[in-house]
Amino acid sequence: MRPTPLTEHELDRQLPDFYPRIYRMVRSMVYGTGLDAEDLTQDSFLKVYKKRHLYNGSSSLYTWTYQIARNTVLDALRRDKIQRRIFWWNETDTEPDDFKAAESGDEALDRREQKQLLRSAMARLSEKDRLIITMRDLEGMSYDEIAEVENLAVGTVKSRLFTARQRLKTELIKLGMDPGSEE
Amino acid sequence: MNRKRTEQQLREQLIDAQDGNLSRQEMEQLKKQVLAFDPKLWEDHQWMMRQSGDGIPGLFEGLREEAPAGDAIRRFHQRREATGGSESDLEYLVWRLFRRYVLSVGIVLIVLFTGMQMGSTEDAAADSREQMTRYLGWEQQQAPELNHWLYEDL
Repeated sequence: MRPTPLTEHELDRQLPDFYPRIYRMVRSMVYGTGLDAEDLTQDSFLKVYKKRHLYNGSSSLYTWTYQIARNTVLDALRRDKIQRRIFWWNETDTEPDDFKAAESGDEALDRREQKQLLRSAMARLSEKDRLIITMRDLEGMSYDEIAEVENLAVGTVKSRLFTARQRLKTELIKLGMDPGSEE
Repeated sequence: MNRKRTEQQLREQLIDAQDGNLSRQEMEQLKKQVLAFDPKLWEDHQWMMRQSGDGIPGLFEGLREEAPAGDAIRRFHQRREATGGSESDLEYLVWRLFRRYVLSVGIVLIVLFTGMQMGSTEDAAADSREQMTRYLGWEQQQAPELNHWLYEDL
């Protein structure tokens, strides 16, 4: 248990380190939905500042912040999905980009195309798969940290990660990646 | 052990293998187990290992370089100020004291009030019982006379 509540000053000090990492996670999660990653990152940190008295030190500050950001993003995605169902006639161009890899034979895709391909494939995954890949492969979080954020056993995290990577492979191939190729 | 559990364990071990945490001997054994269970799992594992030489995390190299705009943190602080900032320590202390004392006293008062109400209801019931007894007593006394008066002509 943390003896004294988290102060604004402590959060201010951690912000430059946390902000870009949380932003990357948010961006990876909302790509192709039309939601604004910057806005959602700010929303998450506003909540962190507001709820800082609830931080009890039982997990690392980063994991706690990540958990708040994760919940904020999942809520936003859920609301967005509901709105799209209700206002289906008003749907804008917010579907994931239907990126198709260039028919380049053995020619390697350039860096920008690779990024675009990966983003499009990620956008086609379920939120659960996207989140676990983002935490491990994009953010390099440890299995213990992921287990804490997701409230799962470490073994389950690994098993789910493998499944999520399998689905990512399927989507990448659907989008034109050569299954036998190295990226 | 059922098939689902076995599959989950193999997936876990394959992730360990991708992280380089298995010895050569353990890898050989795992390969045999996986191929016997489902060759597709091994094929997928091989694909994951091939990506950018660094496995799947290597695939994300480009995305990892992305960062928010340079003044993002300054803009966040501006927004925080505009939305009233966050609760000050004093506000939090007041709220904590409110929760701890005012709410507790409130709950105790509600419990006491409910208890008193129940007590007065019991008193009222006792009064009513007494009145009924008195009335019934009267009725029992009067009943033979009444019966006599009613049926004397029959």
